Amino acid sequence: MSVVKCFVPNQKISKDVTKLFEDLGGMMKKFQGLTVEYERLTNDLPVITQIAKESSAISIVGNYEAIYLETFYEFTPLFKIANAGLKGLVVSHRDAKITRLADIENQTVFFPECDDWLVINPVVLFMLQKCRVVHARQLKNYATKMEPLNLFNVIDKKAMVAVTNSFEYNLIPGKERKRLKIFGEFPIIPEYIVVAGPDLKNQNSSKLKSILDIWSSKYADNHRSLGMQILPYEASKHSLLVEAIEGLGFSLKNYVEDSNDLLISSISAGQKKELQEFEQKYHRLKNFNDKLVKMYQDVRDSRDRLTREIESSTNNTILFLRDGKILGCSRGLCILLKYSRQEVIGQKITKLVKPTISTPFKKLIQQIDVGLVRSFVVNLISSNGSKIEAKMEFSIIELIDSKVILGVISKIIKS
Amino acid sequence: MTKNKILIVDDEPNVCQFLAEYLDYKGFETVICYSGIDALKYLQTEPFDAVLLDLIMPEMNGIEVLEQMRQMNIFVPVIIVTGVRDKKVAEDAMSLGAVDFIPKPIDLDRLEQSLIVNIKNLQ
Repeated sequence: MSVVKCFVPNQKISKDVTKLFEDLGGMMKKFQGLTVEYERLTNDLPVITQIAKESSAISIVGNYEAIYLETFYEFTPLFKIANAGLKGLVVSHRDAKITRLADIENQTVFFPECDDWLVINPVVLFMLQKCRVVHARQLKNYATKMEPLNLFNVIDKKAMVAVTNSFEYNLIPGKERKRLKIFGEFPIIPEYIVVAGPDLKNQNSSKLKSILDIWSSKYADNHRSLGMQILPYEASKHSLLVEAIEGLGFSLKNYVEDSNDLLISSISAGQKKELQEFEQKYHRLKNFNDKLVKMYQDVRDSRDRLTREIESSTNNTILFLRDGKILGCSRGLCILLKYSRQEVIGQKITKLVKPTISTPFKKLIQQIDVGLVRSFVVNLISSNGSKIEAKMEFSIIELIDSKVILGVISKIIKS
Repeated sequence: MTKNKILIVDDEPNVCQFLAEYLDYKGFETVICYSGIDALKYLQTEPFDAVLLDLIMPEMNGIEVLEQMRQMNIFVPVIIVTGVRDKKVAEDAMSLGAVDFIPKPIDLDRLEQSLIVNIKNLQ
């Protein structure tokens, strides 16, 4: 007795669905004398890899896997289990000369509102990527919004193609429908295909078919109660899918074997670029930030070093910012003015130094900064209020991000 | 007591205004002009005790102003106040009659002393 391996999905699925397989196996055993061994598919390997290695196997797979197994491993799609007949349709005017999907590349395609579509498949992706998609909501001409209106754009030849579904297609009057042509169908709700390995096809093809017909009619009510319909598998109905996959630049083999990666990469082709740019921006920003932190660190270090140098100097020097805040004061100047260093640091320069001219110190600092003034006579104010007239030389020290001003007493004029 | 009258010639208004403010405070009378051509007009019409002259100016530079002054027989002490630190330029200016050469950034005290000394010498 021949043995058939029946691969059951390794998922928690309802008992009713599992029973489908058991019923199928039971029928095969009863009418064909085949021994059916049930084996759960594992989650470690792709389904197609596990099924394809068995020539005498039967299992349930998705649309693309069925096409793949049929194309590359001579499996036979026996029938499909689908929801009752709702299909995606690509509709053109009956006069439109469209023979292949590539003919609508760059053309206007009317699209239903995407909010209502749950399934992204190659046909939809092809439209989104290769055609000029116009959504119903972009048209302000209609007071009410019904998706079949898209089809009237095709009837009126405002667009070459519209995407709709079989339900909406049937909503428009038959007279108008006659002016349309269904260019192609695609599933918008997942379909499951029962496939049989090449051995079964060669040996038992016709018998298997009749068993399935019996099985299908016997359990039709059960299936319907599950919202399923057993439908014949028509390979020609899937040509649009294959065409779309190839139109997107993939081979069927790659699409099925790496479906997840390819699907994501095709959905987000534009977004992927944005993401890369975003990542680059992030890295640039991070680098910039790192450099900024280092720069501030360097500035602080150099300012600290400079302050230490100034403070240890025996010359009468003072270091201050452009806003007049004193950063450091030499020991010599502190002694001269009878201040402790702590009393001076952080104070305004005008506390210690007053120009002998009417121009405010702030304005003088500006002139020092622009390189106009180098030196002038000042009054140094000591802690007891006494004044020392002195000539002071100023120079700008440019740090990485800021400037500090170094003032040096070059001559004591009067004390 | 009459104030000594100084002509400040510089194409940068900030420089002119700052020097005028400083010199006014120090007891001088100042007149500002922003070009060499205007300076010559002033010098032909008004008496000045000294001129503070920039070298780099559009239309007519400081050296050309000095040359013109010599041709016009205008003998006023000219102090060059410039950012140019070229020794050759300084020598040229001095050979054309400039009495001092004060580089920018300016030592204000030195500028004042130079004015006092050169005006006194002229008198």
